[in-house]
Amino acid sequence: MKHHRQTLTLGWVALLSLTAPAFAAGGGEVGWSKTIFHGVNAAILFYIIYRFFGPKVTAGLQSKSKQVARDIDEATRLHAEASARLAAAEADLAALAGKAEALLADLRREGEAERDKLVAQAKAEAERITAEAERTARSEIARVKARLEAELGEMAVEAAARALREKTTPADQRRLAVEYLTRLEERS
Amino acid sequence: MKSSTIALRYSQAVLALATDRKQHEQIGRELDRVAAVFAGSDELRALSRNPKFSVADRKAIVSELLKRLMVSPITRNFVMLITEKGRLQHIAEIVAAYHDQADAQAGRIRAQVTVVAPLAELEAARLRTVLQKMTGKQVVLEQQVDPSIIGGVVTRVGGRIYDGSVRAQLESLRTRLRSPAA
Repeated sequence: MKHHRQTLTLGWVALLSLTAPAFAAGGGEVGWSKTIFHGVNAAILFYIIYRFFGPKVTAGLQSKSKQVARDIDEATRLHAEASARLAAAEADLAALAGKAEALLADLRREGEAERDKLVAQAKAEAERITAEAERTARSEIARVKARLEAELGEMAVEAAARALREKTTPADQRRLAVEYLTRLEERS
Repeated sequence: MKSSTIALRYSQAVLALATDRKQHEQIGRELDRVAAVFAGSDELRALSRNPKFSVADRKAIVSELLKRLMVSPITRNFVMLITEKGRLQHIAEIVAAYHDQADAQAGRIRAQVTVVAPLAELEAARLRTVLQKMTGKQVVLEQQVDPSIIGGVVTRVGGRIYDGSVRAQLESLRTRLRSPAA
């Protein structure tokens, strides 16, 4: 219906266009008759055109209109799909960001745990080495002390033996023998 | 002293013979002299061990030695016998075994007493008495001088040692000084 009105409007516009020059040329009776003649011719021409070509033009315009509507629908659908994909991608991106954050947090936690473990191991090892060094030092000091004491004891005994050999008199020997006999008598 | 089988066998034989003749004390003293001569002579010890000397050579030398020592026939024959049997190197051990058996037979025990200077008679008698009391046997003291004990007395009797020497006391002191608790 809309197309019909458009076609008629166009026809009338064309008719006026054809008659307008004649009217503009002025002239009395002769001018108007030519104009009417041309108008009739134009109307006939318009009618012919409308009669034979109008449906095809209308069909073409309708087809074009439907094609445009389909294109719009398709574009709308594609837009919706793209929007959905965009939303999904944005959701995936958001999820990925969350996962990346979680992964980073895990890595950070593991790193901290590993760092703590290494620190604890290093501390324990340092304590063990320190204890071992202290034990070795104590042992070495004790060994040296014992050796020095033994050497001092040995020197003291040797000095005593030397002094006794030099200074023991026959009277001392007899006294030692008597003391020995007394001890034996006490045991018997 | 633990005697070897050889020393026991020969010492038992000569002791039995000497006891029969009631000469075991004298034979003991003679054997001591023979053993002392061998102990003090490197040449005689070499004679008893060196195979380049024949039995005849050894017997000739030992016979001359025994003649000079003027020992009794029992001692002479016994020493010649062990020379012939190649046991002369065991003379000291045989004599010790002889004394051990003679002492056991007589109810005696020998005590080896080590001193720096010989004990006076009074102290020796006291020691003999106390040892007789401890062992229940008649004790024969054998004193030997050894300056290394520094002072005091060491007595070995019946397998026991009573060490009252200064050396032992110094050793005890040395041990205490060496011990960690000292």
